[in-house]
Amino acid sequence: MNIFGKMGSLRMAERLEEGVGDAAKQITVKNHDQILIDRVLSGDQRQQDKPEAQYQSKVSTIISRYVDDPDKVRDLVQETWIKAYRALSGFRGDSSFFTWLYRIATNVTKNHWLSAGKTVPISELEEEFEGEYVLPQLHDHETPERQLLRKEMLENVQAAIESLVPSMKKAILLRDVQGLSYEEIAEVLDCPVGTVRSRIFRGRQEIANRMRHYLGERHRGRLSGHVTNMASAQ
Amino acid sequence: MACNPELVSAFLDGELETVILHPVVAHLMQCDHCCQTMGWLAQVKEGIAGHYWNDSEDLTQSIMGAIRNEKVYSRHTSLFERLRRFGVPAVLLATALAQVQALEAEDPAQQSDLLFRPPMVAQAAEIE
Repeated sequence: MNIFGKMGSLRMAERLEEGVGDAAKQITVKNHDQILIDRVLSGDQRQQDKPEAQYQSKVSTIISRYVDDPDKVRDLVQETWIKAYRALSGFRGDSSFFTWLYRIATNVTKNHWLSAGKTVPISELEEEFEGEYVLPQLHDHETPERQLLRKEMLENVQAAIESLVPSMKKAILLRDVQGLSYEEIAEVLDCPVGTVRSRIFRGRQEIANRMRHYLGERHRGRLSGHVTNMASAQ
Repeated sequence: MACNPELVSAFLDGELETVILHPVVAHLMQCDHCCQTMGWLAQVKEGIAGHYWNDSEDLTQSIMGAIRNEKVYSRHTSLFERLRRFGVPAVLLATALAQVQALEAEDPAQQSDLLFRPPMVAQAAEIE
């Protein structure tokens, strides 16, 4: 069984960002979003610079949590982008662009279920709360013990991330929280792509070492062997 | 090729350089150790992002169906199934395999690369 709880990337990202200390990453990503939006509004339609190129997979991910049919997911993703483009000029930048997009995607998904006459997933969808989005915390099968374990585990993940050296931490957060490509990270951090790849791997490795207690038996054994091998090779 | 967990990590992210993509995939087809490495890397990646890809059977089947239906993907179903057995979520695998699709769409000649076939198929081809 997977050890990590379903907290959702957005909430987690916000928490991580709060703890990072170095706000450079957050500012950079926000600037990056604003550049994307400005380009769209000014009619600049270079494919690689379109917001959908940047956030397509994240939007698909949000919707596919609640919709299994791949064709329907595709339709809803498209609907999300149509709504987003129509409303883009009204985006005030109070929240991050992804947060704003996230709300549109969840609303589109809710409407899909409502129009289908179903209500089951609605209660599980993230609910807006004064500009923030509370991700699904509880499912019927989750016990207080599981919740506690999840909370403890998430705290440990954060602590493990905090313990990384800054260069490694930035690379990891830009990749796994903000979803930037290696090339984009290299640009942000002003280093070669190979360095980014190395920092991300070593960061994950260090986090895994600290999280060993939570990893399943199969992974724990392997991880132990792997780390030993890595150490002896160095 | 020797085990290289850093390349496995990059493959998981869909970020492998094209020149190394096929050798890494071929290696994963025969190295349990690297498949398990990919399994725990996926767990860590999920934890950092705060995701919990508790793939439902339906979702996994949908992704597998999509893989089978795509000509480019058809030969990768075995890799998909293999890595699933090592605990890599289907959604993350779809991301990883997308880079293979992109490469082969860009350069159809890559499709004939023997390295990319499962070992048994490659050996049989060499015998012939």
